[in-house]
Amino acid sequence: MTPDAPDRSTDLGTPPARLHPLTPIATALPIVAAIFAITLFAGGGSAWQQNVAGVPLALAICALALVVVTAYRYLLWQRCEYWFDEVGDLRIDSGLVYRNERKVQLSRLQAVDLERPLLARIFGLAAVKIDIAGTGDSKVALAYLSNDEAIAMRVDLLERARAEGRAEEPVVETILHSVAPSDLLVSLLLRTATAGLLVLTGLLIFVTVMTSGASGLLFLPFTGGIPLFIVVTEFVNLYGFTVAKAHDGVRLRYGLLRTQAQTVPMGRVMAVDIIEPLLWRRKGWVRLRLTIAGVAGESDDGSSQRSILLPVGSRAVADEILSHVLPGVVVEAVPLVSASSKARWRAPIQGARLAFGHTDEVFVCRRGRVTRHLSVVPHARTQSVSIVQGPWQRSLGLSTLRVDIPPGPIKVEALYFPAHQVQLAADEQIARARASRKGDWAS
Amino acid sequence: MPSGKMGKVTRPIDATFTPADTQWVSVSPKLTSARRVLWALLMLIPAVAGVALFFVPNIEVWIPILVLVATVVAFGWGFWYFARRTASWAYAEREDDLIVVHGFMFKRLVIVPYGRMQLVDLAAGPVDRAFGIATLQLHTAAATSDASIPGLVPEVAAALRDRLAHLGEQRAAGL
Repeated sequence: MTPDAPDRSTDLGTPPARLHPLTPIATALPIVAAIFAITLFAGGGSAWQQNVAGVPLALAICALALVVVTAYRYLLWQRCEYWFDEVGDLRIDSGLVYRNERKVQLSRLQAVDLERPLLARIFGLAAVKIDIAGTGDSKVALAYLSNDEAIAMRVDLLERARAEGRAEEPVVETILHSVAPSDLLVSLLLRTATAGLLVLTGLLIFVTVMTSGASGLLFLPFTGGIPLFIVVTEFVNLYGFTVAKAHDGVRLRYGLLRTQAQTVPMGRVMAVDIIEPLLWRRKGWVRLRLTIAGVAGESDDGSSQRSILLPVGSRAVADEILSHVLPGVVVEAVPLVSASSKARWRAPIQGARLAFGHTDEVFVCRRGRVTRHLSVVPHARTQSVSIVQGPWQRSLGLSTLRVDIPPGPIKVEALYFPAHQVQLAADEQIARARASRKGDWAS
Repeated sequence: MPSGKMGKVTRPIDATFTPADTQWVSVSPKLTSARRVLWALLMLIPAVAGVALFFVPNIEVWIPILVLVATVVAFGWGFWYFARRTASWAYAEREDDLIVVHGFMFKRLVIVPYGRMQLVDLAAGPVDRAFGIATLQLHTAAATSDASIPGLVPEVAAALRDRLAHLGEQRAAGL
């Protein structure tokens, strides 16, 4: 049963509610932990090692900080209320000194995600992150609710948004793929740069042992430490990567210490890059990255993770996910034009791999020999088309076609093609972009 | 009205790089003068430093001479460079898009559909204002489609901006 517009005015309001009572302690503890770390390291850790008299003082500072921060957080918690108003929009009043009254228009709702940092998970809490259409401060968080409340809140928000006419289909998610931790770890170790540096580390250790000279060990932190650090951070961040299909796009969940949920709304995908590092090829693995409008501009701590659609998976899995992100596009079926032999003078290694092509929906370009890249951009996302040519390319009669898309990790460039061919392709691409925009629902 | 050179292409634009059947409009030669003045002002810094070095005690005499020679060479290179650079800028208004071409070592051509323009800026620094020119900057959602046209006579620039803004509104396509 769908309620009529006049009836909704009485139905939709709810009484004001507070966040979970454990919120003050859950938000205060990370701050106190940071203060604890500072007292630990202040003065070179002397307070904890030699001078025993300093220990009670440091502990006292931490205890005081715990009390003060918790009290402050408690007052904040007390003053923070949320409810649905009579027209069904979410209202959040908060702030101790400066009162902040927010009204979240559910008609502009983009996505609702749940986030569980480690500490919150211990307390059984979750934060509801609400993403609304608009620039600037378009993110609202309800931190924290209990797990059950948060899940219910998410369903409630999505259902209310649907009643506003934002989404037509029921809120169901089907899991498309989960990345096995072992696959993730192996894939991270086998990335070209990482594997190369680790082999170099092995060589260094071997040489050091053979010659019993220690100077080679100076390089170990760089050749061994940095790649291992990257592998560990990526593993922790991308652990348990799950791709699910939801009514409004694809939903991603990942993270070991801090579970992140992210929605990739179908209309906001600007480009996808299919990446195949050298050592992944025997396993048939690929990685998918994407550019989403509005994500690259954020200074969010996880912006580089937020561009990953699939950290590792077989080609079949990648195709399945791609079919949900770019419906109706079969990447293998796109006819490609290879670069001429002249391109090898400009790019001896990747020259033979360079190619570009198009279908009615997408522009595709291929590059890279060691790490293969295949970039796909829908015509409707083409912002402008550029041709660039440096002196070396000019002497060979070549130039490069670039399809300009919103900022992100993906560059769409058809490198080193004969100048007249690029000129023709640029005009064709602009015409295709124009034609596709006319029938595009998102524009 | 703009100076006599506007509306004409002062030098042939590379036919292998740019579409041939387009009505190209080049930018005002005043741009060269304005950039040369800025360059000269900038070159004052090493020139003054070079002269000052003569008076530093216990310094080999070839050091300030080297600095001054380098400054003169850079000064001359700038004079040549900005003339070439101005000559390389051109734009063309087509039915559905604007084309901007520039650069002579690293050439760059960008085609921006009117419907994708989000913002059209007109800016002029103090030197540009003294020479009576302005820079038109186009913005799309893509950072890489940076299309700017410097060295426009104010009347031409304002008319172009209004025309582009109108066309952009008419054919707005968003992301």
